[in-house]
Amino acid sequence: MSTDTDRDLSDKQQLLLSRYFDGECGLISRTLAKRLLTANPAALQFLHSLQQHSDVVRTHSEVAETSVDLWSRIEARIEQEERASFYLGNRRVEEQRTSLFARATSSHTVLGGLSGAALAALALFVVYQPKNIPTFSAPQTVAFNPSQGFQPVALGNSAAGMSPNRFTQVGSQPMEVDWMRSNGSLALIPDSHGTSTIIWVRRKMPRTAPSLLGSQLQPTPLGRTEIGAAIPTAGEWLDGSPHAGAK
Amino acid sequence: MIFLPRSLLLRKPIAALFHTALSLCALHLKMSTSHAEHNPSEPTTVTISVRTIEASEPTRDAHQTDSGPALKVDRDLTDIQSRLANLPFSHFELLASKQETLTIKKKNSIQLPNGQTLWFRPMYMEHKKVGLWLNWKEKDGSEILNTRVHFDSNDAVVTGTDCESNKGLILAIKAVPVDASK
Repeated sequence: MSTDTDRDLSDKQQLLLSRYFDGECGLISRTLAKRLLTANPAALQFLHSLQQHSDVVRTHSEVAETSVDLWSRIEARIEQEERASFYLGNRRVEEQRTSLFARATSSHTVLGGLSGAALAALALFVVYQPKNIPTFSAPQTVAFNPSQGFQPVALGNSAAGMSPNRFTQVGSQPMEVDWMRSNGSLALIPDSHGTSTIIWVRRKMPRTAPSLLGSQLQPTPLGRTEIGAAIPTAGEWLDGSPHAGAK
Repeated sequence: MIFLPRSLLLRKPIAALFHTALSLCALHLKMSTSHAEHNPSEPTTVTISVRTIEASEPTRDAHQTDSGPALKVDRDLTDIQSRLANLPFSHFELLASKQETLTIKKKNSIQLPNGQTLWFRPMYMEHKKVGLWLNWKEKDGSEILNTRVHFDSNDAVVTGTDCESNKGLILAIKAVPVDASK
């Protein structure tokens, strides 16, 4: 829009022409605008300048629309956010840790958790290593000396809980033990050839308790009378009356 | 798209540890089950025989030499006589003998003559090698022995414990594949 045109046209005329160009005029305003355009060449020039500006803006907006598909990106982001909220829950605002110490602590906790998880994973794989998977380390071998009777084997605290160990017996047919747990102390007793073993559980027994094997009524040290658990003889058991001895 | 566990995002180390351990457990389980996949050529049924033996007449030492008292062993226990000779008892009597045929990985139990229970589960059997889980329980449910052993099916697992009146109770457990025993 030239300055001459601005001078020739008043503000009212420019506003009228703008409304006419935008199609916002009523019947009277449209008639007045047409008269002005026919009577005043400056008005026609002003209208042309409006048209030029409009073309420039429209061209620019079309270029912008074709180069950036903004709405599709927004849609994708919304979908991504919905999926994340489904799996991870809704977002929530956390307190900003502004201090340097707080940031360092936060990163350390994450690192600590991850390193702990790695250690736990390693322990799990070592402890619960499947039998068919090649071992990372050689199994603990316990050599037996036939000249000795009871040979207590270091099974950890056998009475307390699991002690994952693997034993290999010296001989042609090894017997391997993954773990043992008992309410007494454990001992592995080999035979004279050292080829096989007895797992013996030592338990503390009361000295003057009633005989379990005799199935007799006997007084206990406290003066009470109890029925001992009966172990029938082999004949009684094989006859199909396993509790015959408790009669 | 990979979603990290929420605990990691929230920076909770314990929860992160739990999540990771859980994932690794699942991975380990998958690995172990894939390794334990059954070979079609291997037997799927196993006969578990349990002999209950009473050991009595305690001696001071095991029968390593001929100087001790004569060993009295039931004639049905001759296959494990060499092992029984190392126990500090001189008399061994077979109280009961039971057999159970069951499929691999199936859990079963046998009631022992004195009211105790032996739970067992054959884990696998390949090339006559047997993996067996054993849980020997007292009458009140307390564990006498809980173990998992791998042994040859030609051999027997022998385990025992002290009983009252200076006696001992011994279990001789054998696992034989049904296909091979036919």
